[in-house]
Amino acid sequence: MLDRRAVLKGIGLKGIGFGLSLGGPFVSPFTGLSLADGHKASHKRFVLIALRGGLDGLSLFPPYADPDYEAVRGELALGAANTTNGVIDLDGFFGLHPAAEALLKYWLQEELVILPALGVGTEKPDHKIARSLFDTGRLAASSNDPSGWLARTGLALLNLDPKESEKVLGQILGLEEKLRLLYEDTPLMSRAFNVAKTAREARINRLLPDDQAADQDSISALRLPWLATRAAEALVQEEGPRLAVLECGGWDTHQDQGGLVGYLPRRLAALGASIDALAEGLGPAWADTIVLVASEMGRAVSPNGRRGTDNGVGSIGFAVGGAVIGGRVSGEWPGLAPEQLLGGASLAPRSSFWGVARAILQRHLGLSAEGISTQILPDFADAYASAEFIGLPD
Amino acid sequence: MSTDLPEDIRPYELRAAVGATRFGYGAREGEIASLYKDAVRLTADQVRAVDPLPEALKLLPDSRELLTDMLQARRQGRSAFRGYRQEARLRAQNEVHAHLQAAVTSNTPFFERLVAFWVNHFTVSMNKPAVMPLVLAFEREAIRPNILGSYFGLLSAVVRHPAMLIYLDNVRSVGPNSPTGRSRGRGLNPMLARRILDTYTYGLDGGHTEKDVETLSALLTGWTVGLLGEANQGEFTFREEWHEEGKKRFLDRIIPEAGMLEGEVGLDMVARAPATGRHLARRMAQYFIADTPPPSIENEIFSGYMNGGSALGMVEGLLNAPGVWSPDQGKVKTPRDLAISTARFLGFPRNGRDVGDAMRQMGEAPYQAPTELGWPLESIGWITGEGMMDRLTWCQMAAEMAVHAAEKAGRASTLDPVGLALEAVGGLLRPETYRRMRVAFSPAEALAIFLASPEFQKR
Repeated sequence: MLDRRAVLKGIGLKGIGFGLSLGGPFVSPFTGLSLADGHKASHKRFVLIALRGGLDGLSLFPPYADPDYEAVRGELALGAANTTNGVIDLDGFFGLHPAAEALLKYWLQEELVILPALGVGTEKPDHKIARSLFDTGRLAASSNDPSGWLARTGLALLNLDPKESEKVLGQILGLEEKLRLLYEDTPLMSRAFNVAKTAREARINRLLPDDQAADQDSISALRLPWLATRAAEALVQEEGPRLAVLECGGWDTHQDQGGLVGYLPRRLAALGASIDALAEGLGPAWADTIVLVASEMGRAVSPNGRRGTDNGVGSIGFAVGGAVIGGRVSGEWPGLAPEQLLGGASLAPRSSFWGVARAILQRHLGLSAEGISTQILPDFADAYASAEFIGLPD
Repeated sequence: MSTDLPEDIRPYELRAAVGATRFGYGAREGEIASLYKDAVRLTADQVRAVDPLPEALKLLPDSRELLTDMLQARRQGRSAFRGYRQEARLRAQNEVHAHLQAAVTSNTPFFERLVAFWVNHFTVSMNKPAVMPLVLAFEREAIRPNILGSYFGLLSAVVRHPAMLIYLDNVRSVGPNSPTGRSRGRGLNPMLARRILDTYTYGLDGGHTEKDVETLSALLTGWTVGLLGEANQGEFTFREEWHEEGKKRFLDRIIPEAGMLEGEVGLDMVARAPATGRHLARRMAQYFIADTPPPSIENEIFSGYMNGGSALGMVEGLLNAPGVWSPDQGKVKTPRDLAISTARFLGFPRNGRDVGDAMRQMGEAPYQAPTELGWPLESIGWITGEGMMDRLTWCQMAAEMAVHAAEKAGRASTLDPVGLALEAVGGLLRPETYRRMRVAFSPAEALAIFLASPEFQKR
């Protein structure tokens, strides 16, 4: 069985995202894949942005007009659209967090589809299990296959071993220690730095072991615009890769996540900026691009006692790109009333993440349905999302 | 390296660096050198004969046009009005980016810093939908042209502006003893009057009472905005029938009934009051010099103010106050300061939009202060708690992106982090920072260390 990362090394990938373009000169090591006839898949780009830890989707796209929204969200509720400190209106039901206001133009340009209740197939909101499922596309019960579902499509993956990606992205190792020494003679800065580090450690120490592991090996969400810039540079090239995965952590907001301003809003701003970086860097290729933004799980809909949210099952994601027919919400909204929640706590999934993935692989990237079912997502052969669902032309 | 300079040159060089960093928005290449000979005078020159409106901002729409559009859009159905609001938000985003861009490229950064000071003083936030499209026009029309004259002129222009009248609900304030008040049972909304007394003039400890707030509110009744079809559609208008009748006792004066003039008299009284001068002097000293400024600096600014209640006098007082040209950096940069000063010497953030993104990622969404009190003048809050880690992460990313851009443009071999640092802060560069930059593993690390250094994080 192939390890995800070994697959990359095996087909001679090096650096960020260099890999295979469909229809290009490189031979896919996997048999059984085929392109739909006449489909110019080699121009199509697909970017998966993996927000590790479980994005609080109700912060990014607050369903402000849901009758249970205010009661359920409590102190985390944002103001309704068209009120002071309220959300930006999208469609009269869903709003957009002002920190992510960069996404508004994609909504208005009909390039953004909200996927309001995704599930990857987990029943319990456990990071390790959910993340493994999200990455591999294999249900634990049916396989020991550790390879990633995107690697299985034989396409380029930006999801390198963290040490490698640090080298490649030039991340400065040991910077924090150097800053601690730099501030030694400046009491104001060294005090502030120590307080900040202590606050961060205290927050992490309060987490359960599974939650602590959620952010492991992940880059800070605030570096996402940088990842996106580099990914776009690679993806735009004629002979460049056609797939990228950008992953980052810091979304597992169990404590003090902030409402209108704060920890999560700063990250939502980074997410908005990273979509801009992709759109800008891809230029004309944006018209052939789909970016799928999702987490392996969601969060509880109501705040816990620490002004944050606990793990949940159903999550909110979105697809954005020139190839998306958007400006809408796609998928059933399960509602926030107690009897509508899963386990009384989290959003009940109504759409399969794997259906969305299949639709992209088939309709956007041009892979055959049988190939997908046998080689890539055998555990989710039944998951279906029509082309229209994901906002693609038929 | 500045420590190699002869002793008699160092003070001038430091003063030039202070001029660019404390009073400016951070030095661009060559800026410290250009201030070198006479930093005090050259900084002061930036507010003499300056065009208050940068070229690029002259093309942006005026508030009358914007407000008329909004009034017309309100008449449409719900979903059409939603479409209007969304488009208006996109246009407002573009205006924000244009304003931030103007600060990045400005040749008169001291003037731009003063604008930012007064904009925060008279906060009108995009967070209130009814005023969102007008926020940047408010800066262009009410603030920029008026910060170098009398404080009464500035205050008056601000209070009359439709954006302020809407933001603080004076458009809902009706004298209970006015024709409309009596016939429709309407009353005062004292929000604007309260802000004028508590923040814009006397300050919380200025000695005024709750009754004074109510009276000022009565003086300002009728100050509102013209609706569609009216003569002053989309502009300031005085509605006689909303104005509270009778003479009023305000502070220690009886103001006879005089319609709109009553409000002017009230504003004039508070604009010239010594208590106002002291309050404004403290705020200006807090903004530029230190969270807890020494009284000697406040006194100098206050003296300048007392020259006829002069906003320009305050600026002159500030530049001449004892110790303000000292290299001791008493303020932490706000995210806005940090993003713009990085852009000015490093070229990344590249433009106004990048600056706005950076500000949002560090927690200061531009022109979106959460309340009418604006962003706090105490700057220590920006490096308190885990937010400081996010701020440092941004600095690291800025360094990496700048180096990457240089590599892409084939300029990597000429990248000189220490040289850039000296252009940015001149003689304020500390030996410790210099040494660590010299032994850094990469240009990106050297720049990250500089951006995180105390001398760049503070001003």
